[in-house]
Amino acid sequence: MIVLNEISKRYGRVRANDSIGLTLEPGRIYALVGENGAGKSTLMRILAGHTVPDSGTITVHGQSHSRLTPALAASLGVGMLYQDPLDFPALQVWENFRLGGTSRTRAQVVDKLGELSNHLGVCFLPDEPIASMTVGERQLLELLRLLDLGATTLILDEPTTGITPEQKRNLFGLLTRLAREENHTVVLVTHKLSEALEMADAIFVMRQGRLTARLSTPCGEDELVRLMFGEAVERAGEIPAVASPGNRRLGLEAATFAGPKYHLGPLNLSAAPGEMIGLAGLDGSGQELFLRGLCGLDRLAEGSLLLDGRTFASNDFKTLHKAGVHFVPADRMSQALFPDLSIREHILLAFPGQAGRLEDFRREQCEERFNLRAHPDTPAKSLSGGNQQRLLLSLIPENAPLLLMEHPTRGLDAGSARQVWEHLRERCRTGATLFFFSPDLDEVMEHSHRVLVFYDRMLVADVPRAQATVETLGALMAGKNPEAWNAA
Amino acid sequence: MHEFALVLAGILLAGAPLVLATLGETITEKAGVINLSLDGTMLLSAMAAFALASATGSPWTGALGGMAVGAAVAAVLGLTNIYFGQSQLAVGFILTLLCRDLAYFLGHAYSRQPGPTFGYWGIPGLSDTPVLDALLGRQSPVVSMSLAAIVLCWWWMYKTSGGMRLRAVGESPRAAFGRGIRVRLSRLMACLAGGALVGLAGAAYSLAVKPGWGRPQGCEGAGWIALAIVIFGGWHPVRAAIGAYFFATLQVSGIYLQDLFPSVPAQVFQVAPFPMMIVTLLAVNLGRMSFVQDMMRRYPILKRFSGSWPITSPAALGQDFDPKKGL
Repeated sequence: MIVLNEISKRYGRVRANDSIGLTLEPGRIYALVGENGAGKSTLMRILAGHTVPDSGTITVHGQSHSRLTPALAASLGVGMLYQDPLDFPALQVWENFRLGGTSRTRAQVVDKLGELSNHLGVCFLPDEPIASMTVGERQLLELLRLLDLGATTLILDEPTTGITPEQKRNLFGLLTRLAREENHTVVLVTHKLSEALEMADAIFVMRQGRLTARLSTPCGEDELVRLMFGEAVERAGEIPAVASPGNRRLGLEAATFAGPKYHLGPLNLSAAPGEMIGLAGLDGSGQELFLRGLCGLDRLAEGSLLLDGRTFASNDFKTLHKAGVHFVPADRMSQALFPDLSIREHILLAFPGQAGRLEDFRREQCEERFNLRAHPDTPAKSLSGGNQQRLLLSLIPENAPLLLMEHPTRGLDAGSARQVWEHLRERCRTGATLFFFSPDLDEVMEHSHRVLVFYDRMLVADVPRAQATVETLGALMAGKNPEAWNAA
Repeated sequence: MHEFALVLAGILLAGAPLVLATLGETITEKAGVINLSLDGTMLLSAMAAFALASATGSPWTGALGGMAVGAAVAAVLGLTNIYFGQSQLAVGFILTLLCRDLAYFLGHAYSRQPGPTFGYWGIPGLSDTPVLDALLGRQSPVVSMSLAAIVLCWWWMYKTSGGMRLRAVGESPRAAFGRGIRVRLSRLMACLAGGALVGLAGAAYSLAVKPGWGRPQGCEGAGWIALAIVIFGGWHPVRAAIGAYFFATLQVSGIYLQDLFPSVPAQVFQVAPFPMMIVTLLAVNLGRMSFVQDMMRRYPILKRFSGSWPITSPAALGQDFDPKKGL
């Protein structure tokens, strides 16, 4: 049994955890739900020894600790699985399994790994560097490693992001078995209510650093939503229809994009003004290169690109940018913003022509259109995730014909996410074409007129909205019978 | 044939200190720490080794002293960077300059003085095979040490659990910390071990390859070259050693080419190895250039000729890590 008592942690002025107390019992599955930034991950990192709390105690098996280290937590049987697996991509499978574990030779590791993975019906190649594996496989390897270390309390932080529906089913099956048959404690940290309701015996709800409720399942989803967000969040309505599906905004003709590691193509594709096109695929399946190629960050090696009737034989970034192609990467801070420059400076850089009436223009762009109410001298690095995304969107000119977004709602709370989507829909209603990628399949399905599925560095399917279900997309993402789909 | 073996023997000797320094820096960087002080460290340890050897009459004591000096300089870098959070690049640069001046200042009394050297190790029984005899039969002990160091370094880095931890810490200190590995201690140890090897390289210069002490000693600049060879070798000890020998080959061949082309100024041959290294780096990485990649995509048969000489740095190279801050 694990008891967290009065745990507090502040980051600057933000109270990430505000005297939180909770109890975890063996043999049960818990869900810790809350919005992005509610403090879930901080709390769990404190339990796993990765973060030192400001105050409070952690009692494990009757013994109190004011702080844990990862080594101590591991010896107490606490293991945590991070959203981005905390492993060594350049090292081999067996080395990743061995590091930090019991002293074993390579042969012993291979035996042990074989035994454990056989149990689950999976297979690992011991000498493969794990950089070439999917997130789902890496997660499973981490889980096996934790179990081998003797972990009896397993914490999983957003474990279903970036894995296929089938991998998710297997993972949940394994977790249920561990809890029911082997009396393990499982804590699922998630912002997806459906997962919490499906899996958990009890649900903890966190909001703005506080533990606001502890519910036993079954309970109503509406009640959960209210506890999580304070008020019911309106669902976004139907997506706007494409006004003129016959027009051609973007065309790819036998286009091959060449990235630093692989190439993608030849691609033949067209998109109409107003179309919202979602991209689905596991990490490294090719959707990253697709977006980077469309905006000119990666090379167009062969074929051509058509935009509004103009043919481009090469995809020079600057030329495309001038023609109105705008890319917003998932990693906003390191790839899209200048951390030390202020909002005003960002606006000035994006719209040099508006230098004369900068202040008025900034107010129109940021405050009136986006409700970005931060002081204009605030440096980008001090903005919240939501405000960063608002700033980035306000830097895109109003009439930009082609928007490319990589995980547009990454790290945003529900309110900001909704605002971003409303804005993107509005842009599409007025004629922009949107390509976006999200690791969250529900988000892809909700906001796309059609979905492009990538698998193994290929564009395997173009699925219209009506057919885009979790099952179809999940199967295609896992490389199951794309031929049958394309024939149908 | 005999002539050729003698040239090779010259390359082995000229390359020995470079190999040692390169291996040392490879170990340090593999753990994620960049020790820029190589050039100064080598000079200071060359001086210390020569002074100690002169004082005690034993080159071996001198070499040990050189290693100690190398480790001590690395310890300054390691402690200020790893435990006190100062910039490793800034401290490394300052140490380079400091150590160089310190070496010239402290070593003044030993300048142009005769002193002990390593001499030669004869390997008996090789006289029947003249080529091997010329290559290894009468070589300086630093050659054997450098060859042994390559094998040991590779074996330790890739075949022992300590080496695995070293690589893990350089790849992702966060993940290593998460698994209970003592990140800062591992990094400090890597710094010390690497520094000791660099110190041995300095001793190899003043006691064997360019015996004696003076201003200039003759090893100036070797540290910077070693830093470049670490990158050339893709942070792999064996490939780094190949790079070091390649550079030594360029240097040694300059001597012979000078005889062949007497009309070309001697300076050309002294400077030529440096641009040659750049050209070689370009050639080795030709496969990364876009037009070559396009060719390979169009004619897949070309892929057969694209050998791999991967140059990927440790993922956390140069990144500081403070476990108190957590993740």
